[in-house]
Amino acid sequence: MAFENHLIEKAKNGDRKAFDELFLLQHKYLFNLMYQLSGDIAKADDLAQEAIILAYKKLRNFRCESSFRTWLSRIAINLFRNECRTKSKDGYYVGIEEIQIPSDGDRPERVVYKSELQWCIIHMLSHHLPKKYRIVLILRDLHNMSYKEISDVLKCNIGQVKTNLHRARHMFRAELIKGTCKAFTDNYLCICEGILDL
Amino acid sequence: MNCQEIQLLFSEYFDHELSGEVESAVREHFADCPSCLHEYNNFEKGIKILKKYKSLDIPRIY
Repeated sequence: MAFENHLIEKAKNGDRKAFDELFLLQHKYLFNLMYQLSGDIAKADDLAQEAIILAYKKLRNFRCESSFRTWLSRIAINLFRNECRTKSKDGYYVGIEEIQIPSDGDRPERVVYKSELQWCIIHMLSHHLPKKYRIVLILRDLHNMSYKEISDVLKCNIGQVKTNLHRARHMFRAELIKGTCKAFTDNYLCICEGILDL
Repeated sequence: MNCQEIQLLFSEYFDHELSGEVESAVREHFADCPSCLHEYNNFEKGIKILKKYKSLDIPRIY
């Protein structure tokens, strides 16, 4: 943290190298956060870059009242929300039959998809969970943020975080059941075709 | 606390965010109520599946 604060101070004073180093520490996190929210690698790449550019412009306003990651997350999540608003869609409730996956079972891509629980989780998050629940679930369960950190990122009270997280976790599980996930039923028909060791 | 009240605490119970007193009350309820315990185990299973997700490597250096 002391090293990060040192970089922040240097970057604020126009040290480009310090800025690059600062963002190198965060850009894997940032890209993953955007990918988990959007479910789209190209979009995640664009949003993460936009967030970095915006953070660079606003860096002088960063007062170290929260961690740098919290501040950066807030910028990135606001960009993501604006993007959703611009396209006026939430991007969820795509039926399982609409999922675009290779249909030929012998194709290598298909084998990769089958073995990827990753894919299933991203699909559930980005297509079956409303944005406000998706965000809180990702911050807590994929990035291990505390309730307080999440409330700082989202600028809401901790009670709201608890309520939304509780609903989000129920909803995520309900979607796994709807998708006949192997973890919840013997008669699974889910996308991983039951080969995963859950 | 009744079953409905207990089930509203699942998420905080999982995160160990409840006070010691309330956490004990939930644990005692589970000991007497197989139905809530079953519900909780299912709830926990969903979170554990989600937590199996692993971050991707970034596609390229900016």
